[in-house]
Amino acid sequence: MKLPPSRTILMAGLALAIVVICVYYFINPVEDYSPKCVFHATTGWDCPGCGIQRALHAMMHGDFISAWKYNAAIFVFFPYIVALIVAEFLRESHPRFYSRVNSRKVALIACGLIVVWWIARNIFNI
Amino acid sequence: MRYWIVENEERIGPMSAEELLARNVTDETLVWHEGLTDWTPLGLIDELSSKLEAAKSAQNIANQDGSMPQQHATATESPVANTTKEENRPPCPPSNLVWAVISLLCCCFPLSVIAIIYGSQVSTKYNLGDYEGAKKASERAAWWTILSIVIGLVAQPFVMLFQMNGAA
Repeated sequence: MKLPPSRTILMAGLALAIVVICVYYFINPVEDYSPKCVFHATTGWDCPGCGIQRALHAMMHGDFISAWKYNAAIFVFFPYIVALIVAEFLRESHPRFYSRVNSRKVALIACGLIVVWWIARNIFNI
Repeated sequence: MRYWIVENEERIGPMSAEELLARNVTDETLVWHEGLTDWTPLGLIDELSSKLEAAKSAQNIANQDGSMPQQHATATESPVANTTKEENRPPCPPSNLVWAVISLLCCCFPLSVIAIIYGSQVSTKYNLGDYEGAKKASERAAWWTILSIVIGLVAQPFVMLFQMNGAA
């Protein structure tokens, strides 16, 4: 069976993501060099993803409390991303799960949460 | 295309496909448009019947989201309800939401918010039978995500330089 192009890209992305996550076991963004957030550098404000590298590093070492402090949003969005990926692969066998996860309602809730988190973290310094 | 229909033994029209489907039509409703030799049941006009089918299934999905009894929901979802007309639908384009969310969280550049909004429109438009619109929304979601990733990558060296100067 020929894979739809979106799934081929997803496979490549998934492989890359696993490599990146493993790399963060060894890189400590607090001390070592790591990519910097363009939004943070230009505006001085945190973006919704700021702290994710430190959080990943902490998580890879089992330190979930630090991870939570660096970027609490990942505890909401990692499960969402995993659900989206799983839904893509189970699209034929579980079409209802796919349409639920990709529905307008869920996507807009995710979008709203991200925007609220983005604003809140800059106001309350979290 | 302009359509005429027969409703209560009265000729009504002209109207667009959308207006037609908004009326209380069934597969038996007689329809005429330019090119047809005679009044034809809606079910035999492929373009309209597929749209009617899509509108019906969209309504079913909407109903299931409500507090409909579980038994009914599974009944409409059963393979019997998936008529052969469903196979004529193009496959639903990807919503590309995964990429939008990942790029948003990976500090690329917060343009992915726009990508999520486009991505959210894909399934809704598809269920309403707007396949063109769904495809467009899917593509726009992809392009906004790509744009945010490219900006993030291109700006990276400049950010590095900027920070090195600041440290020095």
